[in-house]
Amino acid sequence: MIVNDILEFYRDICGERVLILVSTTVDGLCAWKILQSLLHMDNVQYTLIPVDGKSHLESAFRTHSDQNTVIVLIDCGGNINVSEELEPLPDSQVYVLDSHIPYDLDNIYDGDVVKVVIPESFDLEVPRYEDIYEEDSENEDEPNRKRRREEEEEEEDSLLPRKERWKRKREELLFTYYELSGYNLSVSLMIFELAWKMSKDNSQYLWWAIIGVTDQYLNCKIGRDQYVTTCGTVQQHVQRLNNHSDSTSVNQMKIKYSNELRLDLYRHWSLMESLKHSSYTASRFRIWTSKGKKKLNEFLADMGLPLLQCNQTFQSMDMEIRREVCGWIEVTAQKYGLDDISYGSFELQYGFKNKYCAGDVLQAVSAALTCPTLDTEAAFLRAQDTLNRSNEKLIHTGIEQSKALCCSLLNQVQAFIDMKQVVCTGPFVYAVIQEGVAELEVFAHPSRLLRLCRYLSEAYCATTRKAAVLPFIIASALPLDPEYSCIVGVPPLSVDSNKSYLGRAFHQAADKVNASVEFEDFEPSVMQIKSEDKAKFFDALTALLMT
Amino acid sequence: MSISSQSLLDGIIPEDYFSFDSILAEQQKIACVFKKSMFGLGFLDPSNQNENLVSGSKMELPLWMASYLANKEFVACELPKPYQETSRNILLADSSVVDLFKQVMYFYETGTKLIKIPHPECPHVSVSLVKTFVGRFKKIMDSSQNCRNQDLGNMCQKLDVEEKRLFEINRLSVELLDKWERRESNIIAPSNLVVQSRKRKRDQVF
Amino acid sequence: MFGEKAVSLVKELHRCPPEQLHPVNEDLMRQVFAEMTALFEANKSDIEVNDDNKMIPSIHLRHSALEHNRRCVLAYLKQRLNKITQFRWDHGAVLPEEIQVNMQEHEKQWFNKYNKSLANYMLSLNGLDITQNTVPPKSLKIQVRCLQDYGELETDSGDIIMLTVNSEHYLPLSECEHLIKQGVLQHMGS
Repeated sequence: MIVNDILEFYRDICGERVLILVSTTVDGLCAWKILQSLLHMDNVQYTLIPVDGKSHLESAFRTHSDQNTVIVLIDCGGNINVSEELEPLPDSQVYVLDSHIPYDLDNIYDGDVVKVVIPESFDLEVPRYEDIYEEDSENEDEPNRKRRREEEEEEEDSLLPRKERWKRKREELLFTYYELSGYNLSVSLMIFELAWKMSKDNSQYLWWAIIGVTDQYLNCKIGRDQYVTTCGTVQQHVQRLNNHSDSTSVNQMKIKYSNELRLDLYRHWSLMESLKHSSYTASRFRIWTSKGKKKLNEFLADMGLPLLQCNQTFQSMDMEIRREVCGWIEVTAQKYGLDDISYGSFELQYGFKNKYCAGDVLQAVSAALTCPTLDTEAAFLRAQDTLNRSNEKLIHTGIEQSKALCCSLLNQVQAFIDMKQVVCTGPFVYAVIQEGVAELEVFAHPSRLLRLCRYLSEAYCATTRKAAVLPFIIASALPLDPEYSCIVGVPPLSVDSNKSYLGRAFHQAADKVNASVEFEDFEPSVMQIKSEDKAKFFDALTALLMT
Repeated sequence: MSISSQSLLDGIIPEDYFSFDSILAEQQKIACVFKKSMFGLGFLDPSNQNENLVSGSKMELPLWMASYLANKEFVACELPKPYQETSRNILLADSSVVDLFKQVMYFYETGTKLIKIPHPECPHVSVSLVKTFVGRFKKIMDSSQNCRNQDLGNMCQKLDVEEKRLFEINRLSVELLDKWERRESNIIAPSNLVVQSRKRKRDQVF
Repeated sequence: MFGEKAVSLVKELHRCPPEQLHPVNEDLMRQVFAEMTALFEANKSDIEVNDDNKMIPSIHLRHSALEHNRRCVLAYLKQRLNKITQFRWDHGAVLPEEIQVNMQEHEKQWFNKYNKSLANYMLSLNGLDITQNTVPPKSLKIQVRCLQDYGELETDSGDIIMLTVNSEHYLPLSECEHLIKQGVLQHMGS
């Protein structure tokens, strides 16, 4: 069932004990932070369990669901058949707030145990009920089941043209509906708007929502247009909240819209390091070649920045340079073909010392969340603490970890390109991280692997322009279980949308190969496969995508 | 009221009867001269060949014994060096630089017990105790309130046990105030037993 | 010198950290008692045998040692009981294994009686649990993180909550205070 009124959702969960299952994504985490604050205000008892995959979700659900009548799934559960996989008790309510689309049709049409919360504004393009489900009038005494699959109808006279047409139309609709997978409105923004409707919003919540939205954009889950529209909405909230507060105290949290450079962590690093490691600039300068390094130096010289300054930490650069450098970069970047060097984003200021831009905080939180040395729940709890304003130390730790991650990313991409491990098979490009490489542990988490994949696609496409229309795939052996590999894919660079066919393609190819395959992650284009079946899978995928 | 001269069989138990500090403070060795002979107790002095402690012989006795016997006029006591006139004069000059801990661990506690012994200098000693404390007090309070996150070893080295305790109480109250300002004061902590057993387990692993 | 063993008993307990309880040093106590018996016997025989007053100073010396020894032993035992009481207030009615193992039989009985007294007193206050809320609470419910797999927790209202490691909960203070003290849950500040 679809619930459009988010206030109704909130009213239903108050007054009961709630079980909350949150997926370990930054968007989910930010959404949870806001919801947690609201639940505290209303004194609602809850139990929180972070989950990182479908089997984890299932086991957590089974352990805890019999003690709770209200269960909320944040940023997970939308694209799986909740009633079948999780088997909720008939008198419980399961609310799903998920940004992964397409939602499983059974979640939408099957009874009122599972409720998907979607704001009215969003058009899901869901096929109508009548087109998908056959109401079988003969079996109405079947308890609680209004829908029936019409497999039984096959025994019927299949020459009936109406049924045939209906069946074929149904298959088409299902195919089109499930073909593209992608992302919807950010869950954290959804919950922020809930807070806003209850007049309980404030700058802190808005900041968390901004992190969630920035996560979607910087990780290429949504396209630029959607991001710009969302920013517009956010900007309205920013202005409203900034105007609300009368005091001019510097301790107050203020959010500002600004143009942000695509230079990772430059405020906390040196300019040179940031230019070398950010995927945008590293790819376009081809920083792994000596020509690229020279070009970068030219770029800096062109702006009049002495090398000494660039190699110092950003905070220690000269005041005048620090103030103007962003403007200079934007102007000079045009000359070197970096047209998209800046994008609209937000920055936060509270107190004299603490000024963070959304991208930096996002990196810190996601480094904490995907940390290879902690297990899922511990990492989630650490990332949760990082989002608290009072934990400056944790943000700094997170930033240091992301710097290390940036270096690892560059090293790995350089290794791929230098050692020519990037293979272009007609319809896609892929690379495999060899076993025994030190970086294997660093990229254990699928979202880091996805980031590596995007980085590689940008880097590779800088040299081979025609690869920009091809999706990129990376396979990496799981460090804990080398018999299995994780395969992730990203859509082509030239496509700027929130949907891609890659997830579906993976599923179909996996079916054809009949290999032992798991789609653990909620992200459809991430899968685990037995290492020896990799080659078979790639062949099947090639065959599939060529058609 | 001379507490040590009363027998405990009176049924009056002094306040510090069970106090460990008091017991340990009274272990202080006092040089005594026997005014009456103690027969059959010669073995207590290892350098004594005699089987008796002859009147006029010198020996070091613990304060609890010396005090009891002195009040019964069986021995005459000498004040320990840190309480004698030279030391008192040094303390008068500048008490805050003196290392009391090295001299007598429980300087004040022992001092208060000492002045119960009949000795002509006792009133001077009691005046000196008060003046010493007053002289050192300001420095203790100041350093304990401003020592956040610093190494405390140096600051506390010269303080006797009671002053150390004062220092610690003060430092703790400043820490609690900081915690309250950071809104951490309402966090319930696990019991001490649990914290220590966790530390032990961690250390065992390494 | 008399009384040294008794003082070493005191020193031993003085050195013990506040959260530990070592077993009673019965050996040392027996030695102290032996010394006390010897002193007492010597005094007794001296009083009976001698009519003149020449032994009086010795008798007094021995007597002072006897009183000192008694004081030390009593202080030792009293301090142990103080510690056990403190454990009751810090930790709860059930002491951890490593403490119980080091308690003497008498001390265990004393502890049980103390528990009973405390329980009776609390009952007389209409069931008010005075060992709870040692820190003034700021809110009815608190956020806690579960540090170990505890299993099921039954609340007063009959609900069952499953406490698995690394799950977070928002529960009424009264339900979880004792678990926080025992280290099963960790109180997170808001």
